[in-house]
Amino acid sequence: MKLSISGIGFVGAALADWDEAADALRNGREPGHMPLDELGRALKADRLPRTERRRAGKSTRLAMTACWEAVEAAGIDPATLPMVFASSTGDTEVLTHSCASLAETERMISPIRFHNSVHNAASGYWSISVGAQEPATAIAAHNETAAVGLLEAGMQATLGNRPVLLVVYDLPFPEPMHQAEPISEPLAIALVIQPAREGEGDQLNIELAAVTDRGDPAMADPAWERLRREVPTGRLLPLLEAMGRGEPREFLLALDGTIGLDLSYQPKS
Amino acid sequence: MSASSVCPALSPNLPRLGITALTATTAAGPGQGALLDALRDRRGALAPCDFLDVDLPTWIGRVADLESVSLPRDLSDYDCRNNRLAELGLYQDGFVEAVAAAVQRHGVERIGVVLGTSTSGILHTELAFRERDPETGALPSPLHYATTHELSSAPRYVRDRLGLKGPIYAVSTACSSSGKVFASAQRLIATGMCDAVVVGGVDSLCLTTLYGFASLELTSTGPCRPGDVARDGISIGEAAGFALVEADRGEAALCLFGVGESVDAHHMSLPHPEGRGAELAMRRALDAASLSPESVDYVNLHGTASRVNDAAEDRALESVFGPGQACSSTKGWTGHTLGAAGITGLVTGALAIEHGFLPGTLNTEHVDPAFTADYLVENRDQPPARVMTNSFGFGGNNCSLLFGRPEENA
Repeated sequence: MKLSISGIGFVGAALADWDEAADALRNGREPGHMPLDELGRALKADRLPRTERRRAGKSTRLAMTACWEAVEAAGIDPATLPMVFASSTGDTEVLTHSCASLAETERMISPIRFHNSVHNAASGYWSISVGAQEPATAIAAHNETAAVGLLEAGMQATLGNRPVLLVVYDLPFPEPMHQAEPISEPLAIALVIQPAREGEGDQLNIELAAVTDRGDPAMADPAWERLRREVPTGRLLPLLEAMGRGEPREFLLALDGTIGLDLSYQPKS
Repeated sequence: MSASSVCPALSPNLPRLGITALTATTAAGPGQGALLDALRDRRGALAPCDFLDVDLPTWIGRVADLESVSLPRDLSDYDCRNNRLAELGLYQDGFVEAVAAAVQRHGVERIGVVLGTSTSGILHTELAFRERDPETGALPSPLHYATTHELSSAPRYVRDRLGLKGPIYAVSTACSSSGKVFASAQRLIATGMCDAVVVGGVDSLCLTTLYGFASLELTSTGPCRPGDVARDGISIGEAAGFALVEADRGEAALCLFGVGESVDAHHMSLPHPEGRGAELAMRRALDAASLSPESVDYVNLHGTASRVNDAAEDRALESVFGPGQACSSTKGWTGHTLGAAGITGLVTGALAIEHGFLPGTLNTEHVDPAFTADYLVENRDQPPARVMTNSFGFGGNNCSLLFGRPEENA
């Protein structure tokens, strides 16, 4: 699949947005740390009305903040974009609190917490906010979530010959779930992906390939490499590094032990 | 304004798929035969809730004896109710043998697995929270989160169980999940990423959905009565269903003609009152199949028996087909199987096609007089060639599948 990225959104690592993240990646600055309880301040750009903001889970606000940045960078009306929302675990706070409440004698789960617990909560809030009636999917594949997100969005862009909004996002689990599934940081990356056009924009080629030694995805900086390894969304960071630096890059995004996506990025010439 | 004139199908020219193997395990029993017998004998599988120590006044569609299903020893990390249901469902109707034959044709790397679920193995975590260390609050260790609760646990289990090596993922868009997997499979095959895909859905009973739907006051205190003027809510069920889909070579007895996907952009847990998103999904399925509304012989409704869902769906049906479209909801037999509802609807429609009858609606006495569709209560002796099945979920997420006998689509 021959694709092009026309907008990027970034939330995480104590960086304000994609511009700051790109600057950090370009100039070898380390990512910062964003504790879960301070995340709220970073998510004001979700643009939800106040009542909805109180209702929506943090994962929804995290995803939406990244989505707004990407669609505005692309200059595309978000109502026209099909939506691919990929998250390894969805709303970890809502899920943890629900499971904890259901183990109590009262077994209470509030209606809002229940509808926020569905994996497509974020795409639901987003589609309502922007008035999009295009197809919205919500997918997961644990540590390979970023890869299948890119695959699904790439296929939709290619076959529909139109731009597609992809957001990959993860929220850490609170304790005691964090012990069982340690995701270290909140992170969201949104991309507006469209079919590549001759002589325009950058180019991202994606093919299914056997896993080989070729295309090591590791980041040179140890702190960025930790983020790549410790957050499923972080698997996209080598691509972001190439985009931030305006450098070509080839790497393999594993789908499982034997196959992966062979990614080849070529900046705009 | 016609919805189809402003919003074309996502990918209008996708090749149609051959459905070369199909199975479903529901509360009616393991395999298609159990569901067929229940449909023909008008024998429902819902019963008052006896799941664990759940204290809710509701009826459920529970698959019997899942507690005694065991997984192979080398896959024991996957052990949870949802994967036991996957295991039971997989070994029905010659499905595993059909996949083995597809492996001979295509190779293991060329076959993917995409399954829908709403809650996967969350019950495993819910029960683990009952075993927390009273001192530290820690959960029992290891929890095996990735192989039980995590959403792609079932597709991963199926991949490992069948020795497949293609791409795997879970689609989790609440109750439309296992409809939308067919769209993903169509894309995987159309782009050449896969030659065949195992699709379907696995969703099992858990506290989150039982207490969650009860908190929304969406569960009935008796067996659900879809479309009834006095309908008062859903009955939650569980199911595992699988389909093997491949590029159509003119050999399959059943074809997927088109998939329609949409969202309502209206409300997180209520459908648009006029069924706007549902209408769009059905129109997009027709567009994708290049078929006219007149060519659909029967619609297997989402028909959960919630007051608002059934009314909105009837409005949407009238917009697409006009009044009098033959349809029914089969949730009275199986309950609402949530993330497995799409595949359950497809298997029900396939049985109707193969055995030449239209299933009616169970437990329903008086169809809502406001409805304009031909809402079947009794089974009808009429062989359908083309069937549409609807599945709609929270977040306003809609999917319609249009399928049937291949020779009828010429």
